[in-house]
Amino acid sequence: MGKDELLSGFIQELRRGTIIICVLAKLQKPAYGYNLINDLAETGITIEANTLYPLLRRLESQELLESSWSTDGAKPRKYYHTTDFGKEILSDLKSHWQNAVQNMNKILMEDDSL
Amino acid sequence: MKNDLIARYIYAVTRHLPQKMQADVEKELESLISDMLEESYGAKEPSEQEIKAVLTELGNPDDLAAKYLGDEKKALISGVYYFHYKRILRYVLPFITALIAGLSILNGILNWGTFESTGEIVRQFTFVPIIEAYQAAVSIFAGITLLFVILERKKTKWLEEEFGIGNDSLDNLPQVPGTAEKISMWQPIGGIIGVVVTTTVFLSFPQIIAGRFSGVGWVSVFNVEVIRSLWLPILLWAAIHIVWEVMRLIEGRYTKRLAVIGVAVNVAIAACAAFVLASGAIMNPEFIIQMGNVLPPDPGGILYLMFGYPNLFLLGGIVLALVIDSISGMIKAFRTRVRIY
Repeated sequence: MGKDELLSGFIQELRRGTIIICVLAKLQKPAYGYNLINDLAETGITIEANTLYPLLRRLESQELLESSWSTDGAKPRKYYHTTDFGKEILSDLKSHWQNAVQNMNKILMEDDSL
Repeated sequence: MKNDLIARYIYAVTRHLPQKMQADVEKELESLISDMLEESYGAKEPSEQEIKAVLTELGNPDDLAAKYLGDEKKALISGVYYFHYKRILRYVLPFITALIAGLSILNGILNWGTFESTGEIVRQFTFVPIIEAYQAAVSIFAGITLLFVILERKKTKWLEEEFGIGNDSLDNLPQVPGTAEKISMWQPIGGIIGVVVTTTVFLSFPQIIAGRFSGVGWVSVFNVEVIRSLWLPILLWAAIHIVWEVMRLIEGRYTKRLAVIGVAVNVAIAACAAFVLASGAIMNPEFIIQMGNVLPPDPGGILYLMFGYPNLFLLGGIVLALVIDSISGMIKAFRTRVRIY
């Protein structure tokens, strides 16, 4: 396996672990799936539609998101937003994330100093 | 043609999803595909190539369906196969287990006069039904699991080509069926239950199929020893039928290829039935004698056939049912209409 392929796999695993936090955070303001993909892309987080859409459904089944169809625009769109329970989970995940980043930075700074 | 492609892609994704999810996912995918086309190619009418590009970006419909089901991880049985595997087990296992236990108890009732002690009676109506039901459940579970492991591991070319599983390139997408052409899941599940029940009764409790004669009591229709010696063709008959019902369940609609395969399956089933039923030895001689005593002196036509050669009458009935089934499958497949978005 080449270096690029290996690196690409690790980067994908890193992203997989963070995408749920990103989705819960972004959907504190209601948005539809494709809008969210573009929104995340603008902040440097790329996710494919065939990954995001099933993920949104799964988070909804776990009561972290709620959805509703809107027929106001030119075409019907399914809007998702983070529930109160989802916000609780997001808050806990943010703390874990910040701790993890702090600890990671300590390890990486040690590594830099070697 | 272009909208047909989108419709067929969406159908290829949603056909393996639970019914309560299908309409919502269908609407969601329509909206998504429309947004992707608009962003990439503007608000104009997209060309077929542009639609194909977007659908290719969305990926293989079976993979997308597996993600919606949450079963995209590789396991012994995964993805859409796991969905159908769970569905069959959920309905077939409890029913068959209860039925075997019931038949075992019924067998005990029919053999009431043969018990020699209270202990034997207690055993016959408690341990024996539990053990027989457990054995049947384990056998069915193992058989269905093995069938699906083989289906997924092999992912045989004919299965992919015939049923579009795992090979939904944009040129091979299945046609969207009309309502009349869908196969309700209860049909194949009922078929599997029916085959398992019939086979179990035929092999384990053939004496239950009996006629009651005045002054003689219950007389088994079939020769029990001969039936049991024919276990292999009977099991083959059942296996062919179960595989066929699984194919119908996964496909979910009447197609021309399914109809043609159905004819071949029915020919194979007819051959097994002929092997089992053609010989008069399968009938209990005592039953034949008792029937002869109750028949009018000169029975004509169908009565003579029914009671004089019951095995051939039964075989004839089975073959007729298979012919009707084949013709029905052909008619439903060849009048399939395509729903356009």
